[in-house]
Amino acid sequence: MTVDEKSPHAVSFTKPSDLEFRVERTFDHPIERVWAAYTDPALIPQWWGQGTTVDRLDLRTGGSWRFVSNPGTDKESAVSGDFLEVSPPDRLVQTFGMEGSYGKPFIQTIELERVGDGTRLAITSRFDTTEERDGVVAYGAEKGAIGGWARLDAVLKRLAAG
Amino acid sequence: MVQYVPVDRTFAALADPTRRLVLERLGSGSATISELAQPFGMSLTGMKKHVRVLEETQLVATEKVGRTRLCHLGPRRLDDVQMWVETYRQMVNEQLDRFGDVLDRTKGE
Repeated sequence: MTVDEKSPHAVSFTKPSDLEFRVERTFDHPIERVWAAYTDPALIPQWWGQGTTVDRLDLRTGGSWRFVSNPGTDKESAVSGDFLEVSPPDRLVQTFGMEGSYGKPFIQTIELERVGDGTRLAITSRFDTTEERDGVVAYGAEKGAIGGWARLDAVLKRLAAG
Repeated sequence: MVQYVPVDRTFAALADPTRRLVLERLGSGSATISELAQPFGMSLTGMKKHVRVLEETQLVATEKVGRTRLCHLGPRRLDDVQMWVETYRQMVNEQLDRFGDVLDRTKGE
């Protein structure tokens, strides 16, 4: 049933090159279902986190997308981009920009692969420079920490400044 | 030199409000254990315990100066890339866990 007995669903985080990072995880569901769920605007708010709503998702090559996190609050932020390649059920290439904040949009390639009865999902983010890549990891981590770690975040910032 | 410290231990060290305030205080300069304890109305023993937890995660470093122990900020900082990578990995892990839950829940629909 599971692919790796030790930790079937652990996320692996790797840096395949100086300009990329990759996140991989396996799911015990067929590739068609993983693709359908991953790209379903009705389901995205259920797993993206931070109260995210889908403002736009035009799933076709040349189409665009936009998600708004924490809408209507002082933490409201948006991520958006264009679909460069939409090839169900195994390949989606998009630009990924964080509006009004860190850095330029980067290229995200989402690849799905059949593994036994399940599916491996690999998300590779590619940047123009290593600095931008590491900056986005730090920024993403900081955004992710907003919930329970908001106060801690403020402390860390002061420490870094000191 | 910054040794590897598991991120969850760092966050556990920072979860305590007293310890966060200690770090804030040390951000403005070194202090002895008694100088740190005084504003909290805390015993030296109590403050020593907090300092030890912070020292173990390298958020604070201490040195013996005469009969007192002087505390200052340790080598661990925000720009610790390894820490951000791990934090980011945990965040993505939670996000994809939720995605897995959605897949389980919508099975057969």
